[in-house]
Amino acid sequence: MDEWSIELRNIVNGFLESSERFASRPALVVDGERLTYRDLRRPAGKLASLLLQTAASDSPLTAILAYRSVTAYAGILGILGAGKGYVPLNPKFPTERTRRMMFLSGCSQVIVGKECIGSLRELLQGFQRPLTVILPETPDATSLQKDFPLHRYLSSKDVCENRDSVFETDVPAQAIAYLLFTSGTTGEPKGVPVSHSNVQSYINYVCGRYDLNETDRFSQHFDLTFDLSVHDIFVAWERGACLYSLPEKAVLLPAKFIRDNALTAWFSAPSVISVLSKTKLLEPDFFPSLRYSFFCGEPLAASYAQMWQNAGPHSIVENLYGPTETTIAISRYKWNNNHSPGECLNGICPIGWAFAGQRSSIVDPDFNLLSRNQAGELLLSGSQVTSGYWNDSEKTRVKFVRIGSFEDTPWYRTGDLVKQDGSGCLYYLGRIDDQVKIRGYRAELQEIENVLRKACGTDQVVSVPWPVRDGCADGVIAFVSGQETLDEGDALNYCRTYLPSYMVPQRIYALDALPLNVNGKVDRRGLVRMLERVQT
Amino acid sequence: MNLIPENALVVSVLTWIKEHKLPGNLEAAGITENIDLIANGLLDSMGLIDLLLFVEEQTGRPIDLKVVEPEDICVVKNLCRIALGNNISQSMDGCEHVEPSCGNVLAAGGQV
Repeated sequence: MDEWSIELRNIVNGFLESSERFASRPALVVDGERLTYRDLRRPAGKLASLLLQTAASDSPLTAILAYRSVTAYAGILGILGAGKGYVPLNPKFPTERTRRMMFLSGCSQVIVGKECIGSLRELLQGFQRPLTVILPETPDATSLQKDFPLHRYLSSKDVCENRDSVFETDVPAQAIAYLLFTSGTTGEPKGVPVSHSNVQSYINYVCGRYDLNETDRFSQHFDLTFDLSVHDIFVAWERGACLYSLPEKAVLLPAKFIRDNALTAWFSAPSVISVLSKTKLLEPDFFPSLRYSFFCGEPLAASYAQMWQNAGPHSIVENLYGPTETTIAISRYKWNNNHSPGECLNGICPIGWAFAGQRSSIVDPDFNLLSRNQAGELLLSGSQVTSGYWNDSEKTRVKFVRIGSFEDTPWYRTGDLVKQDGSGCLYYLGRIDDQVKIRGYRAELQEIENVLRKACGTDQVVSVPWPVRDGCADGVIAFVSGQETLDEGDALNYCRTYLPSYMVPQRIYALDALPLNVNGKVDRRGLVRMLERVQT
Repeated sequence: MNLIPENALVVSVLTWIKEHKLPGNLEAAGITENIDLIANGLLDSMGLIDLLLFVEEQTGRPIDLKVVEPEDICVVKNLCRIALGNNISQSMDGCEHVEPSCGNVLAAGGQV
């Protein structure tokens, strides 16, 4: 088999094979515990067996509500080991959003970590479909049973008493490995099912390109609801390496964690560099252990790439790019302190070239292919490109298209405006729509504005990313008009009920009227200029 | 020698937070020296950096983030003790007390 062909296998097999080869090597460091591959395989196998025994419906998916705990990782392995796909839920998301994700996924089983029992109680309030709730670290589920009798509960006792440890690893290549929800323009979270073959394509490419092995120590900085976490988890375990899940507070300031644990492979959004640059920690050779540093999720400023390269002089620094719909990342650019600054456009690092085996095209609004140096929408195709949205054929039809001479395969419309230089290197120029990246998270301004309309009781609402530093947004500011009695606190509380924290506006300003541009549309740039004036 | 007493620094930091980081939906009275600023959604990573810079400005001495654990600087009382070179385990009332998160205020995503 050549290195780019798709291997049709369950992605859990990488872990299982490593657990045979490297049974006593460390697989996971999380929440103060260090687990070997053997240690981690045990609870994963028990959970897989239990899921197979208790499956009450033919749903191909099982949810996981756990946060940076052994259960979070053993749960994912157990779900995949039961031949199902996992749906990560985030205890930091508003309950209403999590409940909606749970409902839309159609899951009838959920694994819950002890750190998320409070979130589970909130989730179960008003959840009308019977669930099997598996609580691997909770010995007594009596009170849950009493308060929410619609559901079935399996406690840690049930998990421990289950003597079987069976992995059902045979799955069709198109079986779902995970279902992630992203921001949707209509206000409804949008499900992206990613198949085993999509993920395996990514893993094969990454393992072929980078010299990663069982002695590596991978960061796990992203939350499980962010698809970049899939890289950390499954590339690490494919190679027999150890995954270091950062404690919640270390996620904010990770420098000490990287040094204390001598991490060798780092992956985060570039905004981490932005934060650390202000702490004076990014001095030359501050991260001598790093061999690989991957950045993805938002534009990487040249100055930050340079700073990180100096801090980790032995590290290969790679700028990765890819929407969730194309599985983790699909293009890469290798940073070089000598020649890369001259290759940047507007101070932003190129997104480089599509991975071998994947294809990119740049088109105009009528899907005509554009020549080099012309700016247009980036379309992507290949084995990493997913097949469409979860239960939404209309959105799938709009975003997954067939074009001209490439009718044989679907192309994903990224909505990203790019151009290509003479060597084929891709440069990110911006968006063709209202999607923004806030601290690396993808967000639709329309979704925020849908919630704002209800929160503020007026249709005249607009949101703008703010502040934006080096192409990366830190948050959102909202403006409304037509509501004379706006209570900002109440409106923000309403937003917090429906939106993840990164999408909640930092402030809502009431204006007499929203400014319009010459086309009669709301002048978002004018509002940004207004904020700039206030700041200065 | 500390140029600013610990109590004065605590007051100064709380005032700064209320003036610069108070979300529209939180009451200033709820911001105390013992609450976890991250868990209560008052600060994200950039906000935490802004706060550290303010504290360093007040004390005139840097906070060594090579040594200090991030979780130790997310509570004003602990942050001020660290900033002044005091031991956080020897708090004035004899206990290191961190109030639980407010139920209806979600954390800032824990992301940078």
